[in-house]
Amino acid sequence: MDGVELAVLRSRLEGIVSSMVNTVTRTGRSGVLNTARDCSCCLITSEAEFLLMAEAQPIHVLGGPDVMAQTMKEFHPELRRGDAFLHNSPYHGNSHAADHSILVPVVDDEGIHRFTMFTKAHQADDGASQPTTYYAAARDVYEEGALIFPCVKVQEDYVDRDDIIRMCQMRIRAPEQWWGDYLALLGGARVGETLMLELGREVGWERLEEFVESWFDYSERKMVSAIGEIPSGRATVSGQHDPFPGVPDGVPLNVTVEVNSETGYIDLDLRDNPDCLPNGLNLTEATARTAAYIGVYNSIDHTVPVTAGSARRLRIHLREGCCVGIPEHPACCAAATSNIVERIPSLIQRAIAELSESTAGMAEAGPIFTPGAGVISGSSDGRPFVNQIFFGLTGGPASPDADGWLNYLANGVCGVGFRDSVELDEVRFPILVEQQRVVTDSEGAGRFRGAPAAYVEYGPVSGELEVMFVSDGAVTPGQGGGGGLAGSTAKQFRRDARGELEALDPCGQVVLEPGETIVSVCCSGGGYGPPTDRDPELVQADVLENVISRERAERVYGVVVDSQGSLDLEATARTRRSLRDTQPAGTTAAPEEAGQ
Amino acid sequence: MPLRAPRLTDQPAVEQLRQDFHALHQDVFAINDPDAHIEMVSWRARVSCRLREDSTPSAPVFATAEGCPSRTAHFADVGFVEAAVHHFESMTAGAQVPGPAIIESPVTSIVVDPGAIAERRATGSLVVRP
Repeated sequence: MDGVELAVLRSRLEGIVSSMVNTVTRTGRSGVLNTARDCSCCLITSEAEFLLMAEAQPIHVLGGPDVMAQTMKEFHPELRRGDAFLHNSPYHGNSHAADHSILVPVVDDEGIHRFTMFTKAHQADDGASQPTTYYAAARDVYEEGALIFPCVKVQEDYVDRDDIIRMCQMRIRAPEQWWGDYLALLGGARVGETLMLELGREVGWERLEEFVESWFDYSERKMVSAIGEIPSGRATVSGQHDPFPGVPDGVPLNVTVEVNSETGYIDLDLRDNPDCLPNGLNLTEATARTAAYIGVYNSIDHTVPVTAGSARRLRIHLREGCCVGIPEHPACCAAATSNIVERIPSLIQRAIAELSESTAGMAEAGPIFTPGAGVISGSSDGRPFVNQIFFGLTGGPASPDADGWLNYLANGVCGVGFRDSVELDEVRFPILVEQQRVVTDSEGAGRFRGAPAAYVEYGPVSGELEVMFVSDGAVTPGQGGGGGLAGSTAKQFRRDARGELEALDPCGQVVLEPGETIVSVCCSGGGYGPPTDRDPELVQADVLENVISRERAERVYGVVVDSQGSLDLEATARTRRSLRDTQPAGTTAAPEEAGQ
Repeated sequence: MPLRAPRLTDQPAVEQLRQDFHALHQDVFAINDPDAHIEMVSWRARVSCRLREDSTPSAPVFATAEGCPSRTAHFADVGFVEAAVHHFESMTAGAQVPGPAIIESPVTSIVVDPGAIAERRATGSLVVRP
């Protein structure tokens, strides 16, 4: 297939997936969908391979939907037009129980299964025993208590199987909200199915199959060429998830990356990690694989298409019964999309930075989730509510040629999620956001710097407000890459009615009374390259924007900015010479303690 | 969603509107929730009429008690300077404000660069000449 036709068909298919995303975000009932856009759609081939996505959260789709589509074929060998499947099983390819997925097989007029339309959305509630979708302290899936649907047929001949719907309505908090989000997911998949059937009739199913083959081959060639840019070598990088319920010493993590630029393969070994943990931090097979993919795709030429074709060149080694691998039932995977999983791409990015001698890879992102992205619940005018809010989370890691993004949010999100509107959340829920701002002098410094941390403080205006969060990075922040410096650590406090601050545990379940607030300071992103190599004008711009202070500009970056905001190039050259003489790269000061 | 008639005169007409909405929702998004209530958040109408020619409306001017405070502000090429702070509502028609200045209104703040001049028009517009 020639390049023009390849590009046209790719664009047509991407348009179909965009229509699915549009349907889910415009019809979703919870803020998780219609405000934060914590949802994703993608297209899977009949052979259960990941073909393409459109503005999706990487953690939702890169690895997983393929396994889920395979599960669908195994559990339901006779697929018929009009079928739809509800799937959230962490043991059968889903990310975690709180992500409900809908799979719709596209069956042509001859009855042949051609593609699978896939929609996934994080739920505001999944029926867990606590009002959180990240019940990370749960010892196993029984204590977690989420309803599990291992690819259950939820529609036949386009009609709901009401048994399933009633089960969800009896168990999931705010059932009307869940029902709206279920419809949104189903609508997204059905819109995709309709458009796909039209496209198949228009261009022919065989032509679409040729496209799939060509698109995978093209993606693979691009990946081989991108891997060829990184020198061959092997790097093992270690990190640590903070202490947490069930793991008082934290979780030591190891990743080994082996690049072979001659043959064009990267091996990613995630097996040297602890066995499944007695809490909800375990990754699922989907998120372990996806974490490896994110780490690589973030680190290389961004024009490599993210497909099963380019992924042929990434060999991921997982172990059964490992907390960064394939979990064994009944291991709890409630936080499989937020905690340890965030560490893995960061380690891979840092390993590739090391192997490439600071021309590829990235720094580490700031670990998540401080209460700025807590699950809030309570009751308003006698009606219960539950929702995950998304305020100040930044965390963007620096790369070899750009500063970290303020809106990165997480490795699993890569900037696709939206930050909530303060005004809309205050209208929807009985809360008041006291302040939200960037924390000065919090960035991971570097030739390119990480995104600075964000501070957010909110509390109830009437009645009690319960806030649940699963935070990492209070002890070990995101590290720098290629000689860049680490970011700042996470913090969370309760402010009582007298204004006194009380530090909170990272795995928090807090009930706030009116007059009290919760304070969330997220991690910043790590920096890339030595800070003394940063363009002085960029340092000056950060001073003028109050991202860093003049004092830090001089002490860490060696850049002198006078009280009028002007750059003193002579003094800068002097200061940088002395900094480089006295402080080898990577040993300069850590960021300031992010304020309260 | 087009209306079947310009007015909703009785309950059946309202019910028809509700059903039309659910049908359109099914058509556009492939799903609907036919038992759900509907909240109309916006109506759009196309109107043809003759534009007024005789006079242009003028915006009222309000007196404010405060004087003219100033604030330290940073401008590229100039650095930190004291910028006068004006209240838009209390500016009279034809009043000119030279930059550096900040003009505050209940809905927004307008920064007037050093060297620029802002002028309030009788219509309530603010024209900034760089």
